[in-house]
This record gives sequence, structure tokens and C-alpha cells, in this order.
Amino acid sequence: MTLLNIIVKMSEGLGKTCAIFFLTLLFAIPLGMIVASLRGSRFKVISAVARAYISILRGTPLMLQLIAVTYGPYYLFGFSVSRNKLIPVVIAFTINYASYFAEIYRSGLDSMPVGQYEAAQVLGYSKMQTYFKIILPQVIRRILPSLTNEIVTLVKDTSMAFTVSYQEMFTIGKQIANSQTSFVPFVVAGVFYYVFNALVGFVMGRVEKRMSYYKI
Amino acid sequence: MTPICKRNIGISILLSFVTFGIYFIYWEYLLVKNIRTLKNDTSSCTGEMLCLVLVPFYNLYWWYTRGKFVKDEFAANGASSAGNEITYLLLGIFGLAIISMAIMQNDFNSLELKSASDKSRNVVNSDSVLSVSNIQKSFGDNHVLKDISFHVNKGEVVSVIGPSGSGKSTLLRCCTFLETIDSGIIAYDGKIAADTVNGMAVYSKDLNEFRHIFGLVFQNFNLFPHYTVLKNMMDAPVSVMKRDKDEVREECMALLEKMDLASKADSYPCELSGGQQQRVSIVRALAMKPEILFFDEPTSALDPELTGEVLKVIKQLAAEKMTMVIVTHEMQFARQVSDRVVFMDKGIIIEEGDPEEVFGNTQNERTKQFLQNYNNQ
Repeated sequence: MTLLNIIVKMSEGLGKTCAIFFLTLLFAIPLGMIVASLRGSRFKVISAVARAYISILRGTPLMLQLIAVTYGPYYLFGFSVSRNKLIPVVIAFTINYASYFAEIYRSGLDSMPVGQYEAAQVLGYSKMQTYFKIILPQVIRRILPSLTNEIVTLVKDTSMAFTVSYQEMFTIGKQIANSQTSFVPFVVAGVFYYVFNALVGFVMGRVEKRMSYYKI
Repeated sequence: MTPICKRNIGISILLSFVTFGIYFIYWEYLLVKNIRTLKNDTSSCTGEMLCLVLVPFYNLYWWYTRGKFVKDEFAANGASSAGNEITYLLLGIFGLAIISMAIMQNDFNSLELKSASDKSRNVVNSDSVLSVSNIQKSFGDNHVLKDISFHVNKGEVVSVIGPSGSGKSTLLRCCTFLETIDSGIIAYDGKIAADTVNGMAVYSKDLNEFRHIFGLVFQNFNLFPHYTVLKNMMDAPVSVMKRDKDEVREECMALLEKMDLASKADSYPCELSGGQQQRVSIVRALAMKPEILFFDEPTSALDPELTGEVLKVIKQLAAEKMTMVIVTHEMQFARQVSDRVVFMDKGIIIEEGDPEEVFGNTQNERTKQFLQNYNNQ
């Protein structure tokens, strides 16, 4: 198998890698915000539930969560394992990354000065308006660097999907490496991930630059 | 490998979670509502607390018994029976009954301002823009405000002076609902915003109506850093009071023009000096067209050089007969600008009167001592 062949084969899985990546971002960021706000709830039980969620999902390996979400429904409820593994994989990634995003997001919320809330309250803003117009834009700006960090990790973590043999790029690469007893697919995978992350870094850098029109 | 348990049991676990979820949301809603209107009153939540604990237990018990049952049933005919549906139904009815009972109980327990005693109505002076009577406030063991009463009439400038920790700022924060009072009465324009029922402070349900009456200028400005100066001013009138955007823009530009800030309209707060930022925050408060303006040590966070421009603006407002309450450490300024001076110490009003009287020849020992200390510095 030539190098070109390997690259072509592996890029067929790239679509699935991208699917995991974008779908996870799409769902995990809002879910993380929800978890973070539940964690800050005045109601202790809700806050404890959110805390437990974060603690469990951060404290167990992603690999285990992938297996649990993919095969758990069969053992617990007798549902058949779905043929399309994208759904369980995205669910597992989403719940896992939501817990990290929640903590990042909380750090941003905690760093907001109380004065901003007070100023908004005195001006008569409702809670929703305060949150979406005053707090959220500033929080996003504050957490952007650590968010970039997490997103870069997510790109690399998509390779975990091989544990449930979801046919994404790394899984294909591993199969080729096994059948051809070759190290080349791993090198190709490394290059793929690096390029992907360089792109992510570039885009996030642009976003950061666009948001830094004011000082905090 | 066969599944550990049957599908029905999985569904019942899900049902338990959903029931939990509904109660959590309902509970959270109650809590937020109660904190807004009833201070420190958790007694009315007992019913909900009970149902919160009971229903999941009931669910779990049902799940336990049912689970055993279902296994046998499965062995017999391998499908769910009518008994299942009936149990679900009963569970639902039980849950609904508890929720409605909780709502009813909550309604009976909620205290309405309508039931405010006639006594408090008499205390409120309908001529004053702000009248405050018998306010008490403590943070834990620290009794910050002990029985404060005062009025602010229309067009009057009242300065509040006193040593640090005397409760001046807390008083202002209580008047602007940033802190909740423990007991007492706060009224704006003769309408009661906070009252005391059975020794407990009760706030009006539409506090936002009252928030349009006053404006507050903070010690550290608290401008919104991600908005331009103009947007800082315009956003609240447009999105809170739902006024016309162009009309508001014209008004705001006129205000900025008046304050010599028109050239800064499109700047961000971080590009302005401290004095300019404080002037912008005054203008932001004015854009809401408040009847009364509170100042919480407006010059304390500024360089001595920059205090002048802010004080000039306040003087200008005083000349325009703006009603103002100013907490300040600038004694000279307070003497010049105010119609009345209130001297506070350790949570009580020690002296209240004409500025010349208080600063010039006070008869009160504590005031004398404070002013002497101040002059010596």
C-alpha cells in the first residue's frame, strides 16, 4: 500500500472525525453553560447534582464513558446497539466535554465583578437581559483562551472513538497499521491532527483578536 | 449475554428522573420567587420540601416492587400488562395532587403588600420623593443600620456624611434594593416599595417599576466595558423601557453635549480617564430620566485632580433642581452643594440639618469630634 493510498483511505474517515468535533462543540458548549448555571444555583440540591455530574464525568476516563454510552443501553434496557455509532459517540463526547466547559465557564462567571450585576440591576435590566447582554459577552471574552485549549484537546480526543470501533480517521489508520504492519498511518494521523489544530488555533486567534477591542 | 433487567424497569428509572427533574425546576422557581418577594421566609416551603422528599421515595418503592413483579410477568407472557399503566396513572395523579397542594399552600402563605397595615401608610409622606422609616439591617451579628428614618423632598440635595463603617453606603444600597432590609419601610413618591409585615420585610412584586424612579452612581463607575459610551447610555432606555431608539439617541447626544463628552460618544470606557468615566456613569443614570439620583462616594476612586470635574457636574445638576442624595467624604463640597446634611455614625442618624448649622456651629459632641478629625487631616 503506497503512502498516497494510505492518505486517501484515512481521509475518508476525516469526515467522521469532523462530525464528532463539530457536533460535540455544538452541543457541549450550551450544555456546559447550563451545567455551570445549575452549579451556581441557590438551591443546594440542584447545585449538588451539577457538582456530582462534573465530578463524575471529569473523574472517569472518556474511553469508559464512550463504552458505557454505546453499550450501556443494551445491558440496562435491552435496546439493541445502534448501527450508527455517531449518536452514542457524540453523546459521550458531549457529556464529557460539557463538564470541562462548565468548569471553564464557571471560572469566567466567578471572575465577573459584582458591580456589573449591580449596575444592570439598578438600570432595571431583567435577569435574562443582564445575562445575555452584559455578562455573557464579557465572560466569553475572558474564557476564550482556556476554551481554545479545551477545543484543541477535543480534536485530539476524537481518536478515542476507536474504542467503540467507530470508523473515523484514527480507527482506519490503526486498522491499516495492523494489517500492513506499518508505522506510516500513525505519522499521517499525526500530521492530520496537527494541521487540524493549527487551523483551530488560527481561527480562535482571529476570534480573540476581534473580541479584544476593549480592555477589562 | 442477556440484558440485566427488562425494558420496563429502564423506563421506570427514566420516569423517576423526569419526576425528579420536574420537582427540581418547580422548587427552583418557588425559591427564586420567594427570595424576590419574601425575605428569609422559608416556612412556606415546608410543603414543597415534603413532596420533594416523598415522591421520589414513593417512586423508588414502586420501582422496587414493580420490578420484582414485572420479572415474573415477563416469564409468564413476556409483555407489559394493564397493571403497569394503572400504576403509572396513579403515580401521575399522586404527583399532580402534591404539586397542586403545594401551589395552594404557597398562595395562602404568600404575603401581599395589599395587606400592609394602615399604620405604615400613615408613616409615608406622599410629598417626598423618597421616604424611609425605621430601617434595620444587619449582616450576621453586625448591626449596620439601626432604625434609620429620613425623607428627601423634591428638588432637594441631601448629603450623607460620617466616618467609614457608619452605614452610609449600606443605607444607599438598601434604598436602591441592592441590599434587602430586615425591617422598615421604603417608599418612593408615596408608593410603598418595601414594608414590614409581622416583623419581616416584604418587597413589592414590581420592584422594576420603582427602579425607574431612581438612578445610582457607583463609586467605581461600573460602566459596561464592552459597550461604547453612547451604547452604555442608550441600552437601558431602549431595551428596558422599550423607548424609541432614535429619540433616545437624540436625547443622549444632547446630554453628552451638555457634559462636554460628545466627542467621546463612540469611545469605549477603557479609553476614558477616571473623571470622564464617572461623568459618563452620571449621564448613563440621567438617561433613564430618574426623579432622584443617588451618589455612592462618586469621587472616592478618583485622583484628587479629577474630582473637580465630577463635582462640577453634580453642582450643575443641583442648580437644575435635580433631587439628589450624595454619600461623600468631600466635606467642603457637601457644605456648598447640599440643602440638608445628614450625619451618620454607627448605624444611626446623629444629626440632620442645614449645612451651615451642621458644619458651622454644631451642638452635637460626636459631630464636632468628627469634623475636627476631618479638618486636622
